[in-house]
Amino acid sequence: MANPPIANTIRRCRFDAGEMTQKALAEQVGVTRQTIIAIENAKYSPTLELAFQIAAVFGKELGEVFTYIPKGPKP
Amino acid sequence: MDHEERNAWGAVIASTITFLYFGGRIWGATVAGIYATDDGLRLWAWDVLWLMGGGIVITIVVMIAFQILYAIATNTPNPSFITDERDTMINRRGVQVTLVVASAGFILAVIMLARGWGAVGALNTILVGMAAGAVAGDLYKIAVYRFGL
Repeated sequence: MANPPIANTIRRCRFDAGEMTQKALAEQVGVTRQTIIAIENAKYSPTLELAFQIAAVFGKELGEVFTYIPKGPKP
Repeated sequence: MDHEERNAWGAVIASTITFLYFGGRIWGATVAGIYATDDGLRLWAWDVLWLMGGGIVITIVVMIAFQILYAIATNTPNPSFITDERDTMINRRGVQVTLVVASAGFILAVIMLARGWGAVGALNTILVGMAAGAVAGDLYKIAVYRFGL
């Protein structure tokens, strides 16, 4: 399974938010810590709703936390 | 290890115990020819009903025991029981794997019947397919949780 084409700055945002733990972020958005880990490592793409919730925790816009990495042009 | 992964591990253990014990009894009865009588299908059906009931009891016991042992082993008095969107996605994919494997068992059973095998043999094949499907689905979920496949 290829990694989802969405990068994120969650780890940086957590650090900037007073070194928020993954567990604390998970509790705020209602998911497991393992899901936050998977999102941070770009192993899982969150739903749009969850992505908005994560961005809202840090007081940022969606595009400031998540970035879509388009696939290269097909030969 | 989150709640749904713990459930998957518990389910694999419970399924293995259930099908080894009850499946072994059904296999033994098949080999002994107990189902090769006029009353054979009815006896087979009763043994499968016992398998289903016993499986439910074993699953409940194993699941509870696994959760307790996990909490003790990891010193987590209040483990999380959250099921989130990622768990739902992994569960859905696990069900797909289960359906594929169980369907293969059904198709094999139909082929067996078409080639002249008896009903009990075909029914046992369906049973094995369902057992394999259940375990395969849970193993797939564990693999996704562990290795992000």
